[in-house]
Amino acid sequence: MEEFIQGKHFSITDPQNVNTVIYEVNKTEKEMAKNSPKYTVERLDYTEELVGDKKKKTFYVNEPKPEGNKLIILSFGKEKVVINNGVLDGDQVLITKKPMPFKFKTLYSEHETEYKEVQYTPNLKRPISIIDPETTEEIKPVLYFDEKTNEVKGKCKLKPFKNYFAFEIRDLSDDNVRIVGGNPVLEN
Amino acid sequence: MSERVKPQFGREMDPCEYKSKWANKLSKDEVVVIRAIDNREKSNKVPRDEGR
Repeated sequence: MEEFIQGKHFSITDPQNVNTVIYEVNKTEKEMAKNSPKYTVERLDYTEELVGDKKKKTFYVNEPKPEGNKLIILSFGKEKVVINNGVLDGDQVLITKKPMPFKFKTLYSEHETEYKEVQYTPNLKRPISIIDPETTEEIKPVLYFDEKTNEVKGKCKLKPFKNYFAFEIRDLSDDNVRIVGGNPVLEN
Repeated sequence: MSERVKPQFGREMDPCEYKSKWANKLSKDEVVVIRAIDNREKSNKVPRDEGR
């Protein structure tokens, strides 16, 4: 009988005013690592349905791996994000009981209404994800090559007096994960 | 006017560091287990033994 690689899905229910997104984390193969990010994160697709006043979200993992798929779980509330990890392991998803909350600080700026064009020199081996907690959408920087400095630079627009959450994977092994997150910092 | 963002997260902004063992390296008491279903099964399908 022919066998197909089948994806898996699982569901979680968000309480009111909580919005969960899940990323799958992968370590880049050694041969590829020289010019690539050491780790990549890919957001899982999901569908959602209302169950009473709560949202039931179904997340899809397209390529289950025999060694398990490592997942970073970010649950955004009004003033904080709760960080957790999970692993899709066969027919079950294991999620730790010890998530870590992080309270947002509002991005400071002297100008109230404009979007700020933020420029930075990204470390392409350690990509940073910036998320708008209200929509949970990622703020995608536009990368360009600065001929004056001979560097790849990024720019994106962030709105003052609004919360953002940025994170990157610092270390990843088969046993542990270390993530650093925080509010993007503007320098004049 | 454009501004620069620090790729690192400045100490003054109280960055958070999340360090944890992956859930599959923890004991059963330390994890919540959710059932994962093959995508070929419909998510709203009621298993025969639970649908009575």
